Amino acid sequence: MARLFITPREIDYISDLTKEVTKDIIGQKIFYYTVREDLTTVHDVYEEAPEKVFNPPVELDALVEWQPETFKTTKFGSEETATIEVYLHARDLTDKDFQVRSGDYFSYGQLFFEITSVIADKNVYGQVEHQTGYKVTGKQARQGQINVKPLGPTSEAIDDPDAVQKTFVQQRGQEENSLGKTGDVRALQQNEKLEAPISKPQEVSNKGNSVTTDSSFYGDE
Amino acid sequence: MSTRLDKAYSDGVSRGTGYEGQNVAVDDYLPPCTIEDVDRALFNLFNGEIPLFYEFENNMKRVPIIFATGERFAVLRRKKPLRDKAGALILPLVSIMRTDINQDAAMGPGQGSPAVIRKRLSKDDPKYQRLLNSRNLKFQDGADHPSHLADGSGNGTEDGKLATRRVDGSPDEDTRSGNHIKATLGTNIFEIIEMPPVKFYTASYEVTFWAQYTQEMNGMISALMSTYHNNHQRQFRIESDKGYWFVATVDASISPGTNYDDFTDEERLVKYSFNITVPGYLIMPDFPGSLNGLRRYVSAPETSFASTQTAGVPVDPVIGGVASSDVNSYILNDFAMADEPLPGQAIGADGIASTLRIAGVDVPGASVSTVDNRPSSAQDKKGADTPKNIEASVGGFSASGTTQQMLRVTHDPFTGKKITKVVRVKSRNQRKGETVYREGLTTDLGKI
Repeated sequence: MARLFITPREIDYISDLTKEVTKDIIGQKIFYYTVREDLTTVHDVYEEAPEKVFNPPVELDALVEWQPETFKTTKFGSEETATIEVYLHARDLTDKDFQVRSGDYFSYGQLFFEITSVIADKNVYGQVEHQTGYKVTGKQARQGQINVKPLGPTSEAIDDPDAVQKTFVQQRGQEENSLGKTGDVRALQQNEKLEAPISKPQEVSNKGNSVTTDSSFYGDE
Repeated sequence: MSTRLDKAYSDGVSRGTGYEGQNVAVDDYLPPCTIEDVDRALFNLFNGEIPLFYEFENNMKRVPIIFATGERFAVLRRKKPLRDKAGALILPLVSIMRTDINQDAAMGPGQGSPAVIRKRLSKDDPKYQRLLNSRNLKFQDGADHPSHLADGSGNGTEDGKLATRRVDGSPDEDTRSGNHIKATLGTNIFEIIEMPPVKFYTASYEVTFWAQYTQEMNGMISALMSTYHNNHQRQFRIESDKGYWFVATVDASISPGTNYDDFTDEERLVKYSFNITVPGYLIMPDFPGSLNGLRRYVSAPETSFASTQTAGVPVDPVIGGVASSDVNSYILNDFAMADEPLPGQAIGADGIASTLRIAGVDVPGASVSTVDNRPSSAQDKKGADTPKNIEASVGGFSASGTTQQMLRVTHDPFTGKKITKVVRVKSRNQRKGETVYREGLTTDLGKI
């Protein structure tokens, strides 16, 4: 599409629409663990580190393409392994000044994944400087590669307090919501093309009518 | 005893493993030589020894070396990045990949038995030298001398002095001429440090040169070919940081991996590969679960061949090579101690006598085995072990650690009847002409 019709304002609009879908509606997220190679003792010949040092996990909004685990029975016995593809919004990463790199780890549910590849997914209407997002492929990490307890939501079969996500709060371009800082920036609002939303971010939580349902629904309060 | 680490005691029969005994040399340290040392030595050869450089923007840069291959995070985030901003590798590069470890290395000494790596004077040697007084110093109270005997008669030692019954000698020439600090070695207590046997192997590597241009490749290959220690054998002397060194031999062929014949839809590849073999060795590798294999021994400065004559006929158990196949030998096996030797199989041995011996009753004709082929689970918790208390005897006498058995003929004090018994000698003192027999279970041989 010609640049004549897709202006920076349209690019911002597309970006904000993507954020609205991922952050305010879908609500999938991963927890990203950056390996601190500067703090990790890396073997100088083999370039490996059994004991890695990680940054604290960062919560990233994402579109997760879940794939069933692969079940294999070999001479070592049976084994289940998972591969996952995660789509991260490029503008969102830029806003947060966050870099996704191969070799880092992330958790989704109970599983940890080592990032095997990070690929720029598409251009926005052929404009090379604007990426829609990154396709991150993760291969299930084994115990020993990363030894951290996964953060929830993990599984309803687990008793941990955060095993099931009971609260979902929209971000809507606000710096903070009831869960804390969002890091969310909506370009049209920032550039004063749109005014800030009149209503506050909606949430799904236990504040709803306990007689008929366990959770409030969007707009029930 | 499935591995050499399980053999807890020396037995004088089987070959030493290097891990027997508790005499670990805790004050000594031997840097382990492992597979990593060979890898590192070869890596250092290419990373720092062979002049592999290329020019970039009028600067000389060393060609990066990759030991195939590290974890993603580490390889991708080197201090000197291997990739450009787009993620493509920056050429030239050298990759080293270990392709094989061959244990069939018929070379080198020391693979069979522990090796002595150090011999030094023991900390106790100065004390012993004072007792020995090899320079025959007469007027030094701290040195042992016959003149220090009380009254010169052997009834004790004068106060504050050391005395000896050794024959009085004259100071040697060095002492008389005042050369007291001349180093001499003679009768000393030596401390000996042993290490477990070395394991040899051959490690093979595939090295790949990958360049952007043939000119770069020519330079890299020339650097390799012109820096051999030995041009005929194409060898390098490679060294690990710990000081161990190995000989790396480069195969004659350096094979191209180029795609010049057709690279219509592909990147032009300028690659060459060759193989390197390095005979290596393992010295006390420090893998998780490994044991300290350094052992410390102290030499015996004096060896005395003394004979003691005891009235009686020695009737020690016959030493058998293998365990007895006679079922009679195991009738009383439930009485056996965990480290008791098995009944032996020997000419003239009697199974009943052997099993009685297990039960603590000594009878002529018993036999003990020098080997023990029971599985570990049937023995003590230290694992299968050969008998520890068996020593060869010569002429009815053996080393001091062995219990001697004698045939004694006595008379019953009440009946006057002649009784023949086997008794064990507890101690003997030749000087006093005294032999003490151990009180215990004895059998009247007249009744069996």
